[in-house]
Amino acid sequence: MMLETERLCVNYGRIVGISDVSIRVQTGTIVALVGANGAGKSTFMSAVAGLLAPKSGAIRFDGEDVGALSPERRARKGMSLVPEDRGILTDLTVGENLQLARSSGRSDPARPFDEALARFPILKEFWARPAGALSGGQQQMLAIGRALVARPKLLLLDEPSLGLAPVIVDELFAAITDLRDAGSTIVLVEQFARRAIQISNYAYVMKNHCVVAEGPPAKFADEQVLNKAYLGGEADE
Amino acid sequence: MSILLNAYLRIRPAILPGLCLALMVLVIDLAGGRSTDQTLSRVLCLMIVVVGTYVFVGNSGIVSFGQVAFMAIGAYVTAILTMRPNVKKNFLPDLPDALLQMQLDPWLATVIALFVVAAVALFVALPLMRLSGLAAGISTLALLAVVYETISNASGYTGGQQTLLGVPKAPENPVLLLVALVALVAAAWFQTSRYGLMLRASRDEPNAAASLGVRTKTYRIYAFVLSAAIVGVGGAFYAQALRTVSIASFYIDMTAMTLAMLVVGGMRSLAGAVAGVVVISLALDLVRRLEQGNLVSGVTLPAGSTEVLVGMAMLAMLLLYPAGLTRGREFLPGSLWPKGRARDIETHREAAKNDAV
Amino acid sequence: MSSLVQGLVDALSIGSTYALVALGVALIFGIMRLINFAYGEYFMVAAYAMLAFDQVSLALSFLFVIAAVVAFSLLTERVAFRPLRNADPSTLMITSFAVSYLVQKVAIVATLGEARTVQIPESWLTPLQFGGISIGKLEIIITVAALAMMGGLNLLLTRTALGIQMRAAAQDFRMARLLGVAADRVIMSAFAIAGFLAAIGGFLYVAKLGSFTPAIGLPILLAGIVSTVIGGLGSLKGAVIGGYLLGAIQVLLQIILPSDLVAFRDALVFILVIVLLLFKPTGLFGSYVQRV
Repeated sequence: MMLETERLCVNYGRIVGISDVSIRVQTGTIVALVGANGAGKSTFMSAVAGLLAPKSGAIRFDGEDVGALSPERRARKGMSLVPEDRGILTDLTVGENLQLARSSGRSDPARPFDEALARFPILKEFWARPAGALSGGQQQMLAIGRALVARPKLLLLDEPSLGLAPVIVDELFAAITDLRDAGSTIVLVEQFARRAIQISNYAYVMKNHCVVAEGPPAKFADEQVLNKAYLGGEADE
Repeated sequence: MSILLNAYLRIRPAILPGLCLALMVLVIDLAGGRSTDQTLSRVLCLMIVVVGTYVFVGNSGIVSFGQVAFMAIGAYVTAILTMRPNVKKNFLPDLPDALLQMQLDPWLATVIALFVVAAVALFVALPLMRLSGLAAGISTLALLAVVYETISNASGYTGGQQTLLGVPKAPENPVLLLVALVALVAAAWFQTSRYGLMLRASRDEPNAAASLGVRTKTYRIYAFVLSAAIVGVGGAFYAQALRTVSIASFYIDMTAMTLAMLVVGGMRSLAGAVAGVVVISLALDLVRRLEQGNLVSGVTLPAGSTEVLVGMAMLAMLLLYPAGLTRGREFLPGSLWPKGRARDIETHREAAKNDAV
Repeated sequence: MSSLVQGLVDALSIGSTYALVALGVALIFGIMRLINFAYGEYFMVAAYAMLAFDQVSLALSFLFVIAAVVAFSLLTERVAFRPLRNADPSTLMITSFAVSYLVQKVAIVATLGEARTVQIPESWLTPLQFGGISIGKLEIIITVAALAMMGGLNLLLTRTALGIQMRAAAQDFRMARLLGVAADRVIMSAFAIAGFLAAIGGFLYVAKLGSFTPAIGLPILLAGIVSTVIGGLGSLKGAVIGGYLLGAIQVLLQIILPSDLVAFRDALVFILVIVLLLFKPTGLFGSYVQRV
C-alpha cells in the first residue's frame, strides 16, 4: 500500500474542506479521483502533500504516518505533487526548475535529468530559457518532468489536463499510462472523469467534500453509475 | 428617532472604551496630587495621538511609523502661534514679522494646527498612498526622519534642537478628557462610515474588495489625513501639557511608544487603542518610579529602563498575542463580547494559517 | 577636475554602502516578505564587535565581526521572526521594528549611550595620488569590496543549488517546499548572507566614520529601505541600483546646494523619491506585485 488515508477531515476555518475521506492507493497503480468543481479533490491533494493541516484522520505513506510532517519532509520521503496551477517557477530557467527538483535528495546522482529529458525532449531544447516563456502544454511537461527528476514513489497530479488543447491532453494521458507501466504509483485528479477512470486501476468519486462512490473502472463503465454518483446518492447499490 | 439610532450605531465602538476612560481619569484626577496631574495630562495627549494613529493603522492595516511626525508639526505650530513675542524673538528670530508678533489663544492655535497638519498629510498622502501597503508603510518611517531632520535644522524658525519654553498651559484634565473623547467618537464615526467599512474590507480581503470596486487607495488617503489631523491635535495639546516643545521628543522613542500601545492593546480595534494606552502608561509609571528609586527602597533600575520595557512589551506581545489584549475585538454596548465577530476572526486566522502551512 | 573625481568616488563609495544595505534588506524580504527594520542593528553589532580586537589584529577583528553579525542575524531569525513566519507582512515588519528598538535601547543602557571610537590602519586613510588627483583609499576599498560581494552573491544565486532554492523560495515558497526545499534552511541562509553583507558593510562604514553610538543603525537602515523602495520591493537588481542612485543624489545635492541648505539635503532627497514614486509607484524594478 503506497498511500492510505483514514477518515481524513480538513477545514478552512469554519468551512468544511473535506470530510471523512478514506482512500487506498496500491503500489504501481493509477487511482483516479473525480468529481465536480468544489467537491474537495484539490483540498485532499493539498492535505496529502502537507500544504494543509488535517483537522482529524490519518495519512499513511508507504506504511508510515506522515500526517505531522512538513511538505518538504514528505517530498524527501518520495511524494511529489504537481499542483493545479503547475507551480512553474517562471523567474527560473527550465533547467533551474529541473535542478530544483533535486532538492528532494531522491534523484539519480549520476544522471538526474535523463528520464525527464527522454520523455519530454522539448525541455532539453528550452533548457536555458526562462520557464515563464513556455506555453501551457510545455509548462505541464516541465511540471511532470520536474516531478520525474525527483523520482517519487507517489506522483500526485492535480488536474493535469486543465487548459490544455485536446491533442496535448491525449499525449499527457499516454505519458501518465507509461509512467504507471514503468512502475510509478499515481493519484490522478481530473474533471475529465471518464478518461481518467479509463486509464486508472481504481477510482473514487467525490461530491460535497466526501467520497460518494468507489470501485474498479469496470464499475463505472455504465454511464448511469457515474452520472448517479455525480448527481447524488450512494452508487453502491 | 432614526437619526439618533443611527448616530448611536455609528459611535458604538467608542462608548464603552470612552466610559471606562472617563471613569478612570476622573477618579485619578480627584485622588491624585500635583505630580499625577501632569502625568495624567501627558497620558491624555498620548491617548489622542494613539487613537489618531489607530484611525489609519487599524482601518487600513498599514503600519505607519510616521504619524509622530504630525504630532511634531501640531506641537510646533501651536508653540509658534502661542508663545509670547519677546520669547519668540529669542528662540525663533527668522520667523516673519507677522508670526513673531502673533500670540493666539491656545484653542485657536490648536484648530489652526489641525488644519496645517491635515494639509501636510494630504500633500504627503497623495503620492505615498499610491504605493503598495508595505512600501507605503516603510516610506512613512522616512517621512518621520525627514520631518525630524527639517525641524532640527531649521533653527531660525523652530529653535532647532533647543527646547522651546513658554507654551501656555494646557486646559484642565477634565477638558483634555473631553477632547480625547471627541477623538474617540471621530475614530468610531470614521470606522463605521462607508469609507471606513470599505477600507476595513480591503484590509481583510484585498482581492475581494478590489474586485467589488473598492477604491482602496482613495480611502487610505481619507484615513491618513483624518488620522494625521487627530494626531496633530494630540501634539498641540502635548505641547501645552508639557509647556515646552523639543524635537527630540517626537522621534523614534515616541513612535515606538505609540506603536507599542497599539500593539499591546490590539491595533485593529478602537478598544485596543484605548486599552493599550492605559496598560502601557500604568506600567511605565511604575517603572519610572523604580528608575528614580523612590518606590521600593534599595531597588533602582538603570536609566533607560522605560524604553527597554516598551521594547520588550511590544516584542513579547507580538510573539505571544499578535492580535493584542483585545484580539482585535470591539467592546460594544448590548453585546459585551460579540461572539459572531470573534468567531469570524478565528475563521480568518485558521484559514490564513492553512494558506501559509 | 579633482573635486569632480572625488565627488564621483564619494558617490560610488556611499552608493556601495547603501547598495549592500539594500541588498540585505531585499534578500530577506524576497524570501519571507519581511521588511527587516532590525537590519540597522546588524550594523550596530558590527560596530561593537570591532571593539573586541581593536588595535590587536585587523584580520582577527574582521573575522570576529563577521562571526558576530552572522550569529546575531541568525539569532533574530530564530527568536523573533521564526515564530511569526506565517504572520502577515505588517506584523513581521512591526516585529522587526520592536527588535530594532529593543536591541538599541539595551545597547544604550549597557554603554550609557556614549560614543566609542575604533582605530583603523593609517595606510587606509592616506589618499592615493593619480597624476595630481588624490582619491581616498578607503572609498576605493569600500567600492571594490561591495562590487566583489555583489558579484559573489550573483554567482551564489545563479550557480549553486542553494542559490536556485533561494530564488525559487522567493518566487513561490509553497512550490519550493513541495519540491523538497527545506524552509528553515533557505530562510536561515538568507539571514546568514544578509548578516555577512552587514558585517562587511558595517566594518567598512564604521572604519570610515571612526566613531559611533548605539544610534548608528538608523540612518543606514533608512538609506537601505529608501533604496529598496526606489528600486522596487523584491528586486535585488533594483535594490543595488536604488542604493547607487541614492548615493549619487546625496553627493550631488551636497555639492550643488548652497551651504545654508545642506542641512535639508535628506528632506530634498525624500521629495525627489516621492516624485519618482508618483511616476512609478512600484519603484524602478518592482517585481513584488501587491494588488493594493
